[in-house]
Amino acid sequence: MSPAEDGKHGLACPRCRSGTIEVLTNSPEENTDPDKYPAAFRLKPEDLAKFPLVPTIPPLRRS
Amino acid sequence: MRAFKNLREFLQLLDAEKQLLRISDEVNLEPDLAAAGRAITQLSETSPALHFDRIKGYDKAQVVLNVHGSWTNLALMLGVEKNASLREQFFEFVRRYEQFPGTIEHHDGAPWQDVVVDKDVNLFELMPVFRFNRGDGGFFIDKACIVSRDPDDWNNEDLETVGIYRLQVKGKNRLGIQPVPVHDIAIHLDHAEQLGQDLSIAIAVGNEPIIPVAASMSVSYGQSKYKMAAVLQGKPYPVVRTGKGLNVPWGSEYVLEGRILARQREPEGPFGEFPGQYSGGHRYPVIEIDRVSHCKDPIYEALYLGVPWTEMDYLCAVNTCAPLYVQLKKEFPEVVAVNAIFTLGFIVIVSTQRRYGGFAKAVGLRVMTTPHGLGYAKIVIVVDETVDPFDMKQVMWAVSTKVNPAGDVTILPNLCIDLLDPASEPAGISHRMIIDATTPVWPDRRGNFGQALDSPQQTDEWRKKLGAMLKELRT
Repeated sequence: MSPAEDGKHGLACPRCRSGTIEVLTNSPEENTDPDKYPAAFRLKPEDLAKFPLVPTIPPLRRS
Repeated sequence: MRAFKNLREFLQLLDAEKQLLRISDEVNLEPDLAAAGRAITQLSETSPALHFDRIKGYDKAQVVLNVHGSWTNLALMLGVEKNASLREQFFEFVRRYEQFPGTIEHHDGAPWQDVVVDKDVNLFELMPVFRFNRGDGGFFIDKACIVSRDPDDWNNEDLETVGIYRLQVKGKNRLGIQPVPVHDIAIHLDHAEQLGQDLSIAIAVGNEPIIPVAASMSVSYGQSKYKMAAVLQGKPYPVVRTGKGLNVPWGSEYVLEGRILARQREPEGPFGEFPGQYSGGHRYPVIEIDRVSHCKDPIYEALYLGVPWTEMDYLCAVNTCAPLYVQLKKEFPEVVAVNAIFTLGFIVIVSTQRRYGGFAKAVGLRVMTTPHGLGYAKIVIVVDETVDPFDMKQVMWAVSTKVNPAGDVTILPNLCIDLLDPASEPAGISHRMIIDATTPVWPDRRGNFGQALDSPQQTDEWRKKLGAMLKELRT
């Protein structure tokens, strides 16, 4: 079932408004409306790239 | 001393001791489970575990919370007197810890092998996962024991580690994992990534109570958590080997086998974490799950995490104090006791005799270079050997009367700290502080401590006499 078909989900990720979404499971406490998602937890695509990378990726060993 | 073969056996004991609440009403996964897990530790320091078996949308799911969430449950786990004080539990824990290493007992099979799913794994269907706090970026598995080995020395059982790291369920068979650099699994992952290889891991959920305690201890690298669990329970620790050669607890309810994907990072979080703040987002490693095994009618175990005190604060209390104490005492036999029960030991209180003036500050510095101290111990308070570090009334007396900030507060700039410390700047870097609340001794002549007060003569006799009378009065 696509997100649009089940009638319960929006067409965008409530956190970052990405249009690439997939329903994995349903919860009784859903918040699928980007406008109602708490402001402190909203993301912009450029924020994702700024997330700290942990742990750092080491150089490959030379064989 | 007592060993439990699995979670079910421990739940039976909790039930018999009136330390298990069975919730028979139908509940929603969200927000009921998290709310109940939050509420139970707000009620008391002797709270019971919670068992749910009517969860809307699931036929047979069972969830337990707060298994480690009180001093009483921890005492029952250790097999000591049910009302044993924190101080008594600490010294008993240390006594067992000092027996390290115990032995690992290998078995050919285990009940968790009864049901195996190795095709079309869907974690959302297999486990009743849920969100703990409303800003969590997804569903998290937060009380799983994760087993890993060093790819450079794969058959070395002593380099196998068992740790509890939060796992975000990001897809049907895809998890995010938080292996912060102070965790041993980060060493294993680093070696695998240098080789360009995935790191095979096993994830054990729903365990007898001692392995989560060992898993969340900061022991030295190369000290097997299973051998630690063995001495803590006074019996060899039973494990079963997976196809990849990882030891998994015999008594687990669920075992997830998979791989941390080499050299990949994906956005993860936020997650409501132990400092009482959300973690923010990071790009963390990713796990693909290939196989899920579980007991028939498995019990899913989780813990509520949020503003202290929560189950985590009980789970990571005595097991945080004991390694610090043993490691400190090795070099400084004058150390009497260590209290690191607050927020995973971000603050540590040490009571010690003083060899000479300035000694307490040296003890404080050593706390910060122990394996656990590297990531925690942001503030170390050192008190006299006559002050019980587990009694906050005594500690606050020492801090309020023995400290002159002119010479007793030492600030060390820009040391490492767990990056989840919300006050660190940048995340993972923080100043640290030693508060010397001991009485100065030669050649430190500061202050006016020449006329120390003691108790009136015969106070000890009167305490015994009155104590006995009080007991009689109240029975």
